[in-house]
Amino acid sequence: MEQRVPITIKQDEARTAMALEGVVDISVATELKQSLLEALGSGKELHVSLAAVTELDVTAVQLLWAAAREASAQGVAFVLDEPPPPAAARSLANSGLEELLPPAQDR
Amino acid sequence: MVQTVASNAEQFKQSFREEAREILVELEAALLELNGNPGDQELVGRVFRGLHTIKGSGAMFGFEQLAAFTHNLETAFDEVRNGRLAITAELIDLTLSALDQIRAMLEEGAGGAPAANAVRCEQILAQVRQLAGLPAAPPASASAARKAPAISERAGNPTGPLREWHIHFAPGPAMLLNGANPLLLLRELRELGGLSVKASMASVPPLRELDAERCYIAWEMVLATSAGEDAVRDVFIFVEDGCELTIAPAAEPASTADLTAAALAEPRSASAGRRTTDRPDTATSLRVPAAKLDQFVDLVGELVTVQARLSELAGRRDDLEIAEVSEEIERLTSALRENSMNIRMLPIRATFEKFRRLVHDLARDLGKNVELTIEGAETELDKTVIEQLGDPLMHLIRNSMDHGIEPPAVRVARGKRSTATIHLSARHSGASVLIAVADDGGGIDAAAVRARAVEKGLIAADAQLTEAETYALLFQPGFSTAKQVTDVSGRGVGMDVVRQKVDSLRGTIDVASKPGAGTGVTLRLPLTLAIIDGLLVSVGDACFVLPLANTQECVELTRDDIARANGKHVANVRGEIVPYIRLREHFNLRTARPDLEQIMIVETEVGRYGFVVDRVLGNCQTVIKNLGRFYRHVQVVSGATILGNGTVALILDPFRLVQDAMRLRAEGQRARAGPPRGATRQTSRAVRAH
Repeated sequence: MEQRVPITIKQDEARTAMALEGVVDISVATELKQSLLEALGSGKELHVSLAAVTELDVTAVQLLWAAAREASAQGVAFVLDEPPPPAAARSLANSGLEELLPPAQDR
Repeated sequence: MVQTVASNAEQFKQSFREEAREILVELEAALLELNGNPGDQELVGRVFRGLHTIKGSGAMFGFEQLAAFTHNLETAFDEVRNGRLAITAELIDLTLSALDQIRAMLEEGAGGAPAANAVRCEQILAQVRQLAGLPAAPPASASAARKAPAISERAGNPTGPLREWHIHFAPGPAMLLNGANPLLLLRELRELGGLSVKASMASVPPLRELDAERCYIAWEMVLATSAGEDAVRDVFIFVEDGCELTIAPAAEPASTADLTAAALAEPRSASAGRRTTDRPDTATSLRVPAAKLDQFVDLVGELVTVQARLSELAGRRDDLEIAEVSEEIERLTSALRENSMNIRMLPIRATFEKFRRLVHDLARDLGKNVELTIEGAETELDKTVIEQLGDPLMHLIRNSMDHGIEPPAVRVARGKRSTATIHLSARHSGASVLIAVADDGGGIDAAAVRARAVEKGLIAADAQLTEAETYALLFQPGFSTAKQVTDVSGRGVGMDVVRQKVDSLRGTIDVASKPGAGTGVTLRLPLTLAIIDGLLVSVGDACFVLPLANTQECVELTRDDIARANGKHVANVRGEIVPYIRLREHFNLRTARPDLEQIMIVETEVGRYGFVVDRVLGNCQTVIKNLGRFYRHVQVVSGATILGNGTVALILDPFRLVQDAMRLRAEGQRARAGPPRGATRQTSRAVRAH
């Protein structure tokens, strides 16, 4: 029954940094979509960190994927700063979804 | 917010209850079919899937006790499915009584329903476990039931050769909102064997247009597993209706182990098309609370009444524009009315199928072999009529089973098949529907019925009755010919209930019986109880409505015609002699008779019959209003309706009118002829004398 939205956004002149944490699923999908839209709307490059995520569900994956597609269409950089930790990644890999996440910077 | 969540939960519970009730009916039908056909793997699969769904959804919606209980049954049927446990009459009976307990658990908390019997539940489980050769484990906890069921078992106990399956899985729009998680489903699939997965993003729309709570991703998978198709399909059991799913074998089986071969004998197209044949297409049908539907029909009824007023008004004013609008509204109202009536029509199948269980249980208790055959289950009836039919049919069937059908030894001695048949049928006939319960038992012992009636003081010892009148005695309150009161029937309550119920539905009962060959009881019921098409007629200043469906034609009746018939109430219609009833005389209306009258010719059970009226005013859509308790005994009137000008017209029941007229005439003749009380002969003579 945690009410906290697991999305933290920091902006500076050049970039938007978005950090997701905990369970990112359908319960926060609408907020995540809104955050992504706003971030892309600013025209700044978008850096996403999934390091603190414990679980990502299909809604999160498809939002990130769609945002990455949008960014590339707009010519804006969309960078995955930190991939999800192994436990969360495994579930994605099992579902053929891991490769759909935006390419991680340091992988 | 919290309240919304709570009421949502209650709503989910309620829809689970509704779904589970339907599944229980299907389960019962499948079990009973299985009883006659123990080798049918498809039926076993159906039972397993039904139990699996009840368990899974039950746990999801907080019916934990129910889920845990069902889990044990499901395990037993998994054993059956895997060929380790044989279907026996005992297992079926146990499962049937278990379904009763599940039903009770389901209704717990739904208001005043009897609770499930915990002791009985434990007994059932112990017996099931013993039958299935399972360890006498303590009652499974709910959490045990909730975790992915028996999957490791399936994977660990290969039931056939390793096979590859192509699976296409695309969640539907509402799947995530219904609480399903595709990733968990894929994990479950992976537990069945080696899985390669490819996710397709082809349907994901641009971010702005994307519905964040919907899954657009589809999966193409290849699964290599030794589990059968059923096991693969079971993974998707809760979401099957809300997604696109195809499961097809990738290649021919490597070997032909019995079970797998049997499973594969099912053609591929059949398995692919199963969703459409097995279940109604939920995507194109809606579940609507009955109360909402009733409200809708009520509103249409009001509309019909107002429309009648508008038509009447338009008729009085000489205004073309109003007339045009009024006609248009009339056309639309008529279409709307027909549509709303159609929505209320339900096939009688569910009501009929319910009796398979009754027949099975009674046959066992009475030591008789009885088979129930069903015909015309697709016949549609008004929802309210269907709801009221259960009781009378149950009494008729019980009566047939107990009194009609002979014990097997007697049947054999009489040269009959030892297994008796009860045939339930339904068909349409004009504006009525005929529901029949027929058995091939010993028939009604007319002499015994008669003797019993004399003993009860219902008829005089020397009364002469027709067959029909004798059988009608069976439906008198407190009548029973059974020498011994059994649990099943014989208390003389049932048949009386049948008559009351059928009366309240404005139906009639017809009994036919042949000694040694069987008995058939036919209920004739009106198709609908709410709105009918009628013909508005007038006698003096009174208006009546005759149901249009029964009315065949209208002919003129002149004073000359009456003179030619020598005072007899018959008319010559193109050479055919048709008896008639003069409504003016029948209802004692003291108004002057016009020179030219009209005869409405109506088809009745005793042939064509005429009703003489002054004028035919035209067609009308009629909302039937009940006359209320006070006029309950007035059977010739089936209700009243409010006309466009605000006056009330009585809706006549032609069948009852004819019966009533025949009765009056018979009484009149009897009064002239004097005693005895043998009414019957005279009645039938009176009919012929018309």
